[in-house]
Amino acid sequence: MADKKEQMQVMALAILMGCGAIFALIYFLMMPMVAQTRETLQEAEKIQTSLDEIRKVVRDRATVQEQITLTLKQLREAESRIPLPVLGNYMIEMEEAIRHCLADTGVKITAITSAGEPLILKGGTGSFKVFQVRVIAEAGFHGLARAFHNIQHTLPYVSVSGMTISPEDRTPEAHTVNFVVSWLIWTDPDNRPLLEPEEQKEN
Amino acid sequence: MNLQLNLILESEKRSGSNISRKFIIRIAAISVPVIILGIMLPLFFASRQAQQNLAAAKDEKNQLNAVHVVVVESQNKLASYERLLREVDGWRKSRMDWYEMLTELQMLTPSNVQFTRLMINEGIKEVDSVPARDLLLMMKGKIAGRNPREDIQRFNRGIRESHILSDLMSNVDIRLLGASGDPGENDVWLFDATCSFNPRKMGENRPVRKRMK
Repeated sequence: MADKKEQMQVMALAILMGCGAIFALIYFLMMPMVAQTRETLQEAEKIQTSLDEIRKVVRDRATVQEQITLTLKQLREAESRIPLPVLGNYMIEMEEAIRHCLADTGVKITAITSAGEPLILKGGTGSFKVFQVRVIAEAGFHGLARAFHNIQHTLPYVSVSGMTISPEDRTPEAHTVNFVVSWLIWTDPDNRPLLEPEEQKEN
Repeated sequence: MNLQLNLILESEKRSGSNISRKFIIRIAAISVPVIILGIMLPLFFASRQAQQNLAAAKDEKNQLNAVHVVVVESQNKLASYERLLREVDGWRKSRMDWYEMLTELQMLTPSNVQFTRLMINEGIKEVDSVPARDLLLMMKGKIAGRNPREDIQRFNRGIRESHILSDLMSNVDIRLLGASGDPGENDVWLFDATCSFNPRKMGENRPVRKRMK
């Protein structure tokens, strides 16, 4: 009788220990392993997502390079028409360009002067300013319109941005005209964005 | 008389059941580890596979990172070039075609109207976060004839209905001010006009158009 009881006790102990072992196995081995696997899978998924993005970006490499070349070509073309200061002065080149555009239009230039400090392009990239030149002249309506046409077609980055036409009593066909011509110029010509580092050093 | 003899000791007694306790213990001793292994092994392999996949993804990412950085730099460079090009192009495309505008205005001006002053002011303001040209045309003049109001209305209508000017302007206001007052000028009236233009954005190919009502 005593043996049977002892056997039962041993068995109960064995079951208890077995349950304890299974619990320890689940709690200390399986659960951490599951958690780690889940973490690993999540991290791998995150990396895969970013890899997809990276692959997509890398695939576009050639296209981006092509676009840079194309955009740069267009910008270089524009850049060649944006004046740079000659000995810190823009007026010499601008006056010459205006006189060239107004030749053969019947517009008689009285004076060409700077119209003040360059303007800032509000809302722009900050790379450009606007240099304004005031032209005082005598002209007929047609001549003036032709002169404006010449300016805007010969100089693509120059615009006529203000004018006053006052008729002269003594010469009804010719009026006194006062107009402002605006030039797009670099804010900092020595550090303009398109310059390669070598060119910047030279400057 | 029946006599029953029990020669089995208590410790030697066995269960009468077909499934013995020993058998259950043996089955449990085999099946529990098998079940545990059956759960643990796939878990272990899944964990290993996940770690291998992670390592492979990390390796690939590390390999692509250098190229990625270069391409992203290129993209940023392209974006800054495009911004510059848009601004330069915007400046060019937003210019008012004064030749077309003045020629049209002259064609629409009745023969009995003479301008004494024509002024155009251009300012630069920010519209929708891009620079825009803000233009205003002001005219002063004389109008000869007995029906100045009708002539002014005709002139006004002409501007509003002009395909070129109505697209460019947002508002036209022409006012008859009164008689000239000059003793030598009979039936000559003074007027002034103010025409506002739609802002011409430098960040777009086409200016903002708000046709005159």
